[in-house]
Amino acid sequence: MSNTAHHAAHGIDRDSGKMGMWLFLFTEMFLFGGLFLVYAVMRSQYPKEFHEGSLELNVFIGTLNSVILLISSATMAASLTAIQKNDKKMALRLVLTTLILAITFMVFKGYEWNHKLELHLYPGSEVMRNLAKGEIMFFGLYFMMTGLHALHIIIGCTLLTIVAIKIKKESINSQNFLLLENSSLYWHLVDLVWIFLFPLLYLIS
Amino acid sequence: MKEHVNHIPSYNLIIKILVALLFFTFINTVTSTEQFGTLAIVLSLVYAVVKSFLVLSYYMHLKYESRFMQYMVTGVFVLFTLVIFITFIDYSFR
Repeated sequence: MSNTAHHAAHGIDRDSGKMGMWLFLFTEMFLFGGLFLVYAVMRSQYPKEFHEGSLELNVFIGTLNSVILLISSATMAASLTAIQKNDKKMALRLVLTTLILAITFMVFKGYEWNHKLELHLYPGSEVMRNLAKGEIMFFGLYFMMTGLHALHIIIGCTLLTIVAIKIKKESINSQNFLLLENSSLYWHLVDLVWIFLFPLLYLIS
Repeated sequence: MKEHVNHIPSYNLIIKILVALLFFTFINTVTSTEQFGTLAIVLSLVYAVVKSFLVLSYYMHLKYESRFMQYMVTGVFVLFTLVIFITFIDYSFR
């Protein structure tokens, strides 16, 4: 294959590859959107209980996790810039930084959930059953939304590990980086979801 | 096929966007802790929308994508907002 033909073929691959990723991201949006809708409806029905529920959450850890996730988004975006500049070392370093930040996010999340479990505040527990209906809804939504988000972080970690290995092996390089680009899109979507989750669950009271 | 130049955001720009994102997160915590009442919800959503716009445009490279992609994503976001909004209204006033 001539060089030009190769580039042309590669261009088409890249555009359609990205398009496919965006279509997948749209389905993800609607997946989380359903939960946001339930949140909005329940919040309007039980404003007082949602207020009391949100006071139980640790705003400091929530804010810290927001900062961590925003920085991880920046390092991921930077790794894409690095690979396009043919700086393999930098791209690898930035992907690994993103991975470490993601794991840190999960550690804090785990700490937070653990605290709730110690207080017996989890769906189905005796304590939770005796709460007002609105508060049961709040904590149910809290666990469902942050849980689904955490699942996405874990999937993201797996993806980042694969990307890091591929950069190391140079199967992701300055000419062929669709997987890095799509993983980056996925990671930013996970960040976008948290951008809405954080104020809705932790801040508004 | 039209040859398109591949623009990429510089490290500098990525850091500037990060600073803006962190700034809005900080402002959000301030306008929520004090007694802002219902305004807190509106402000939080405004900050979240601004932050999303920054992430979508610069980190997700929509600013550098083709017109087609930009319209597609904007269209889906409009549809998404409408679905949420209309279903919410429907549920609230039934």
